[in-house]
Amino acid sequence: MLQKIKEVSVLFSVGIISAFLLSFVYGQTAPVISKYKKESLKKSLSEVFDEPSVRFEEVKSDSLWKAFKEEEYMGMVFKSEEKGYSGKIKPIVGVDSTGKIIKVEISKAELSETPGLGMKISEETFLEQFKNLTANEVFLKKDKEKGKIDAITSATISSRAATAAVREGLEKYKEFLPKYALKKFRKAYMENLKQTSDSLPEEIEPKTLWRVSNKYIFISVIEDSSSVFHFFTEIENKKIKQISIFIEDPKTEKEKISEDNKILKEALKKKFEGAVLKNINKLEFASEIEEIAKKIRKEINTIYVEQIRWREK
Amino acid sequence: MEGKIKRTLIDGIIKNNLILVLAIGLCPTLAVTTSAYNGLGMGLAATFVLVLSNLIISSLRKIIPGNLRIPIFIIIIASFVTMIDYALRAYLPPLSTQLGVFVPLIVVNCGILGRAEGFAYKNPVHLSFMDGLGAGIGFTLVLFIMGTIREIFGQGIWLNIPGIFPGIKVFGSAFADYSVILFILPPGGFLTIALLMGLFNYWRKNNG
Repeated sequence: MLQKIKEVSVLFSVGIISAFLLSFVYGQTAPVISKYKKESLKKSLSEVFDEPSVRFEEVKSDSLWKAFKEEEYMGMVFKSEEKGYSGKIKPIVGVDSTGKIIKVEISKAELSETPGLGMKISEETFLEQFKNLTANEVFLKKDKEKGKIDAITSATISSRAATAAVREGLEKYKEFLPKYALKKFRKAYMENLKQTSDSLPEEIEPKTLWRVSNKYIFISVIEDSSSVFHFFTEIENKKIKQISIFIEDPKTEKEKISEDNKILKEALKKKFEGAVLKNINKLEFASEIEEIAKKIRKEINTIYVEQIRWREK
Repeated sequence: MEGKIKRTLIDGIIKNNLILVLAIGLCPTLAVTTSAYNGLGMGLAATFVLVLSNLIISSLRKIIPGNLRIPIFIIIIASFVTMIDYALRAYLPPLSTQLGVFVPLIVVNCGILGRAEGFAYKNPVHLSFMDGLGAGIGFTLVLFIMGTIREIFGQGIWLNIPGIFPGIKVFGSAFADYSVILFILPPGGFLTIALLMGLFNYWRKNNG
């Protein structure tokens, strides 16, 4: 009995002492470890964004950051992952505001691919191929015609996994890009225009003014106190044929899709569509849309007088 | 007395060499020795644990009850390893990420448990210290040599330290395309260890 108690107490005290020592060491090292982790993360973020004095804001824990310069939203950095030949491949990718890759980094230390083969995906010669590519070009050349990435000899699996990780991240996070919603709106509008007209739109002023047969289309941007309005105006036979409006929140750079804004859009459309340009100054607006409607009227008038009237026959 | 201490140290390196003679602790050996730097790092970490665990276990050998010795050894070794793991992560992060899972694996490295059970539990503190040191040096040397062989033949470079030193190009840059990749893959580990064991035992047979 005494023997048993002695044995148990020895085991017990060894356990207790070990636990105390461990917690002491943990307490000493934990702040250093987390500081190092933060520093190395910050370093790798600014490395792939490749632009001085950029501030990063975490959007999704350990996988997505937005990059700001002063207050301007410049682009994003994401970390994605894909199963490689052995273990996971986790590239860190910097993306500019238009969705183009700035730089890709794969940390050698986090990689467990075969040394001398798959490990080469962390080398500059492989990674610099990603520069300036967009999502639909990030494929291996041997996998897709549009692909722009050369695989590493006898490490196709690693190369393919790295490429897929970058591409999937781009697809997954593209909605977080600044101006993504606006870009989509513009693209959809132009696509629709191409499909509904007999001939291709002719670009008269780069990215602002187009002509299709005898129809003129221009895009303008105006601001009021809380929103930014982007709108396409179509003019045909001295009349406003159509107006398409995108209301943007300048803080998030996303579309404002509340009920109020829907009503506002409808009211503006109703007022302007079909209006004769000569009489546009005589239009009267309800008080709740007056401020913005007057700005839009001024903008349309200016562009019509300066750019379109003398071109019309 | 002095002679005995010296003998214990040399025995630890040669006669009781963990890998080449006792053939214990082979798992981390095969896994990490793809480069000389990895081998060295793993070896030094294991040496540190060997010395400390031998010290503690030998000084506690009179109070550790015989039928509970294994769990107590494991608690002591596991605590040290965890502490080393934290210390590496805090003060030598590149080495820590490089060794990855192998540092925690020292806990189940039977080399360390083997020395605790086979030597430290039966011998006084100063001898156990020397035995731990000797076994550690022997382990580190073998890991370093294996890493060197595998790195040179497999990649054509030597002593590459990721992020710090690119390594010495042994065979020139043309070799990179024709390196013997087998040496970096697991079979290369087995081949290297077998060759080393054979050579070592041949040498020992002929030189006493």
